Amino acid sequence: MKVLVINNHGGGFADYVEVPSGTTVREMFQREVPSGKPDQYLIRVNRQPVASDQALQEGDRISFTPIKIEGALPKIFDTCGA
Amino acid sequence: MCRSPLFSRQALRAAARIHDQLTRAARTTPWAELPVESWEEAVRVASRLRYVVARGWSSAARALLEDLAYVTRQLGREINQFESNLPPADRPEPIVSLREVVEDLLALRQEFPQSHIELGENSVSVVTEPIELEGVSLGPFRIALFWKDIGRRQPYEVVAESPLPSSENDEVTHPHVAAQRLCEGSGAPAIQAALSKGRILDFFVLVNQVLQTYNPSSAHVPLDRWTGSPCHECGTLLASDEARLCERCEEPVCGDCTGSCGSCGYAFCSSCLGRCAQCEQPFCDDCLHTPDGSNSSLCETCFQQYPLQEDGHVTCFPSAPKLVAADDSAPSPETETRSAATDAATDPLCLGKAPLPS
Repeated sequence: MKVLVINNHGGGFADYVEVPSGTTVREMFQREVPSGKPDQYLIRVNRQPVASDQALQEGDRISFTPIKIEGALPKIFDTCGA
Repeated sequence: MCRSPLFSRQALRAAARIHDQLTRAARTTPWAELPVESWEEAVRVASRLRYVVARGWSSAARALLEDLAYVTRQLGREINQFESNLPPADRPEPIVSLREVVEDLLALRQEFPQSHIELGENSVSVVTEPIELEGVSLGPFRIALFWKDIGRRQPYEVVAESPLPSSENDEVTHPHVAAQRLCEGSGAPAIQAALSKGRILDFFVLVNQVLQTYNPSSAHVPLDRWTGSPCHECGTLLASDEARLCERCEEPVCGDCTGSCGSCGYAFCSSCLGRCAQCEQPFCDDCLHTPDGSNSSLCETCFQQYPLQEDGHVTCFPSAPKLVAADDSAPSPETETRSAATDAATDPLCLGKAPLPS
């Protein structure tokens, strides 16, 4: 089945991926964020919080957003928000 | 999902406008504009530099070399920006559908119960929960996205709803927010991607997570310096338990800038402490006495030691004993007069009554 994966870690990747039917949220997370821990991410399916053992369905939209995202002063020659 | 009819209607209308803006912004290809102007400027400066170097004009060459360095740095920045704006594929990535934008807006209220759509201002905003970082309360923040500015660098602002700014700079309401602009840091790529692709819900969630995270190595004002008052005299930032208040002006002062009145013993800043003209010890204004006709002030002790003259003026203080010359020659009357006049002139209490020295 095809699901939309939005990985807001790093560059904010978003694309449809092909996964086996019955793939759970936890399995999807381990596949897309192999070095991450689920409790350090906001995980939403179709914009809703879900249980980690919930099985994904065709066309689902799943997003992973890190809980900790560090703001920082701009580097030299860059302007903050300009 | 909590949906009010009004919010739902506003979401539909806002979504249409946001989708229009996204479509318009996607047609503008920032990567298509090479920094031609900066390149041409660099060419011009380099040409002038070669001209002056050929003639041995070293001063002019030095100045032009600096100009060329500046222009090439600018060109480098613009080239890097051009490269970062290149799309990952030869065809532009599709933006989200109108339906996706609608769903994002409708889902906002579940993530942020205080979500608002202002059609007149072309904005959608959310209010975060009160933010506390390392024990420092910063209050809630409003994240306001102005969708007509999508496509520009930062089309949103972050406003403290109940500002608790840093003591050092009241424009810094959060370690990573200054003048209502968020320093996105490591969240910048994801935030920009969310905005450019129209993932409005993701945008607000990402900004919220940046606000919820403290990066002590790169803050406008670190949290360990957030509260406190600057010393009224030297400006040193004082923790709340370090500051003493001047008894007179009630401004906070550090220990180094605090003095005690020699009479009442209260603490004052240096601006509120005077000195006795005689004993030169520090006293507050209430404990200093300024005799009539005098510009100087005396402490109570010094004031009492010298009775008033009949005209109400304080008797001049006796001058210091003069050193006698080695030949023991007695000073001439003229010298004595001049010395007395000089002594009187330099005695601050007698300035108004002393004859002018000849």
